[in-house]
Amino acid sequence: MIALTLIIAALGVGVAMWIASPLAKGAGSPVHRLVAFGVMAVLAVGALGVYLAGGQPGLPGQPYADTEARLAAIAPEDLTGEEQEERLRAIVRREPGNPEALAMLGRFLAFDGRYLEAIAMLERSVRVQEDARVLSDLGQALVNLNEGTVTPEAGRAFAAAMELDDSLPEPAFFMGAAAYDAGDREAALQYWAGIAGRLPADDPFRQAIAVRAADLLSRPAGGPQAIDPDVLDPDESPEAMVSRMVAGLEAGLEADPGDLTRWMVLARVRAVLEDREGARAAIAEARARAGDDAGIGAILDALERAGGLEPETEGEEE
Amino acid sequence: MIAELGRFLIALALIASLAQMALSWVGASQGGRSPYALAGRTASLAALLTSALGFALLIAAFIQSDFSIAYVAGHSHVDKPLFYKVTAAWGGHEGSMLLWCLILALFGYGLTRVGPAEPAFRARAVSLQGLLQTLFFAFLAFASNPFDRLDPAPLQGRDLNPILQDPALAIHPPLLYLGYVGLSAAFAIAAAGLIQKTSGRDIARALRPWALGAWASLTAGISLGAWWAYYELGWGGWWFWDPVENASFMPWLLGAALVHSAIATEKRGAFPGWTVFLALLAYVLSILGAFLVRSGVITSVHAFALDPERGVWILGMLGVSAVAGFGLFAVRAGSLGEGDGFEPTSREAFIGANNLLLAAAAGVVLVGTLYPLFVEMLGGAPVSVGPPYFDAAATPLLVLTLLLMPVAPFLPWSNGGAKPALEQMRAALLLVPVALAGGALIWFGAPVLAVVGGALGVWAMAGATMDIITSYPLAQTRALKFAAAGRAMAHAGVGFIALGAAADASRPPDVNSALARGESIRIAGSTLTLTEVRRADGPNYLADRATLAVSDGRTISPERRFYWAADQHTREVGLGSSITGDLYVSIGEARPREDGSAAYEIRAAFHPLVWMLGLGASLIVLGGFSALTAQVLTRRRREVQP
Repeated sequence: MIALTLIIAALGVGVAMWIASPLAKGAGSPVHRLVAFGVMAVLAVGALGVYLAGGQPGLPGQPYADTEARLAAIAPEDLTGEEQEERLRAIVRREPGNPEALAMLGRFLAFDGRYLEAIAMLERSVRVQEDARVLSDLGQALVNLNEGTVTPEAGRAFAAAMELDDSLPEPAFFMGAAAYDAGDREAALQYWAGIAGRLPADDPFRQAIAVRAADLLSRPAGGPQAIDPDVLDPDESPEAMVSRMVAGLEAGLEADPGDLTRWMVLARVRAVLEDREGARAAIAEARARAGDDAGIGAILDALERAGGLEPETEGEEE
Repeated sequence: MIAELGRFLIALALIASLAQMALSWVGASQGGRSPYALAGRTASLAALLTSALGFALLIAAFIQSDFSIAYVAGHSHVDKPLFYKVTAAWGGHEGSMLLWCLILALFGYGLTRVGPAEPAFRARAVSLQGLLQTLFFAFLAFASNPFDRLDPAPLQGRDLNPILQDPALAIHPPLLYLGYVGLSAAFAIAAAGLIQKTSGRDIARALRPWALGAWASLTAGISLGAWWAYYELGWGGWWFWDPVENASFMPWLLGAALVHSAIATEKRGAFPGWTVFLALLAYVLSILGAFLVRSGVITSVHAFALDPERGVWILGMLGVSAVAGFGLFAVRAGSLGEGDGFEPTSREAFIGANNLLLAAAAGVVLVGTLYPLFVEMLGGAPVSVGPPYFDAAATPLLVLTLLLMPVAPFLPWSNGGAKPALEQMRAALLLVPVALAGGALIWFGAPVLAVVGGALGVWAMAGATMDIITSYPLAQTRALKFAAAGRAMAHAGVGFIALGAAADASRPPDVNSALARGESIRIAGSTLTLTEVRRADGPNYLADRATLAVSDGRTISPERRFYWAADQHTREVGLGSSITGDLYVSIGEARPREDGSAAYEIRAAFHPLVWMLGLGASLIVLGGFSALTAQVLTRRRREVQP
């Protein structure tokens, strides 16, 4: 502030004197000298007046280097989101090959919905150092960018993540989702059952994946559109149509009893038709064919709970 | 510190400009040699130095990324490359206005050094330039200050508009402003001449170098802008009759008329009133251009300020300049004197005809540019005036100009005489290439206007060639040699532009296709195969760079970029240039196909002989500066041998 005041004063007076100096030098009388002095005074005061019309001499400048130093001195947990981002960016700028910083910034950006940039940061991170968690986050950012679609690029990221660490739930879940979207229910079941089996029983992801898998895999394949319109009878009642669908499922299972997902669909349809015993029987059949596969067991447990088909306890019977 | 010091320097520059105006005015009234005139000159240098230092401080603030300055925060980002941090200093309204003022001050000081020879006339011109400086510095200090502060300052800036992060556009504004603002010196000289009751011939002699320098710079600025639009905006157009393009084209047309009419006025005393009027009008139209770009009254890719309040300021400055200039003209035009008479086949007559055509073209462009504004002001529905109007209304005038242009240098002054001129031109010889060019364009199925344009382009080039062959050996002094070379280069440049524009108008249809890797498209006899798309991120953008292999062995690499700080996508065009023209490719978004592969939107075009536009513009600029050199040499000779 003091330095600025001194510089402004020196500049103002100096320039005013310089401009008025030819008048002073050429002045032949005191009146002319007075004119020269008047011109100088008007110039200096005028410049100061124009400056003060909007100037903020008390407000210091803030070069980015100062901002960066200020942020670095604050504990990360005390920073706002925006400040945290700036601090991460500062680290990445300083250490462009730091995989942790790149991954953290990528996650931050993904959380904020800035997927394009997040993907770039996560890609840079895995180029420096492959990490299953970062690859999984990269895959998820790609899925989010593509509005939920597991693109081939995202699939490659998830596959690489699974290869490095098959205990991560997200890559397997999304690989299963991609298989399911492609119509390959068997592969979807393998992915989901595989990860549900590998996760500890008390892991919240295990339960979440099992519930989602049970819901998706027990839906009739293709939905109502799957019914051949050529064989649709406009006079047929909905109940009759569903009965025909059940008959179709049963016939299919007779031909291929090892199709676990079809057992799951049959269980769900029977549950909807209030045929609880039939539904339980279908789940039991699926369980028997799955053997001791813990992952499939978890999914079938979830299906049971969703349909209210848990074995009735004695107390309940009373 | 930087921000506040910068703000004070702008205040000082404003006060110094005011002193320049007042002290030089008194000095001019005392004969131009008094201490007041000297003090006015010192004030002019003070305005130049303080504004230059202020501009340097603004650049320093950008380099330091001081986001407590609103203008820096709005136009920069810490990750932006250093080059664009520097050029962002004039990439937005406030900074470019500081550059405008700096150039005004530069021309003000220039007038004190090499202004009109007569001292009182010079002091008066310096004073009037001080008036123009005062108006713009006041606008800068009170309504567009680039050192306005933000408290609290944002952590990060919003970055410069990505399409402005380009080398051509970094140089385009300074050149354009040298042109716009350079015309202010011609305005000041013309107005000062009217006040001093100087003869039209002396005014023309005094303003010619300034008009030439300004017009050549304006040509360079407009050409760079057109080149930038061609490769940066992704549609391959280099001129779209956009209101902001028109805003620069109008002063250019009048500047072209001025540099020619000033020759006739200086050499033969012809059109003294017209020359002075053009000098006044050209600058007034420059301010009109500033109003159109900065007020928000028009929508354009070029408009970079949307602020009606600032528009009112500029309208005020436009009003002051127009009323002062044309008011003086109305009162004092009689003092300019009358020129000698001339025959219809004299050079004066052809220069006069060309002047009328150029002025009429400027009028047509002015009407088309302002018509939508007036319709909206009168409560009508929004309308837009586009290329069909300008092509139909302005092109015939420019065609006629082109038809007359090559003939004028061969015509004698005053008494005229077409016969010797035609003999000199060997008209029959010139018509052979003209016919060949027209025939070739017809053969390739070019539209009628392109055939006419192409033939006229060749006509102009052939005329310029004959001109230099005939006149250069006869030129006895260096100044005359420079003048002859300048005229021939500028006229040939116009021919190249006409031919390039005609060829581009005859280009084959663009090809739009979605290509996966390994797939190809064909255009203009070439096959382009998409060989790869890979990441090519920059410091402040993410990019996908495609590589397309051309069947002749070249590769073209367009990019699609995402500037994350500005949250904006851009397309960086890939160009494959050859003597026949440009293969022009841009890449769009990737779309997944059912088989899982990604197909990229590819737009390919072929622009035949487009390089001729650049060559033509360069020749005009070189011609302008060559003629300016001739002026400087002549002036020196006059000083040595008065």
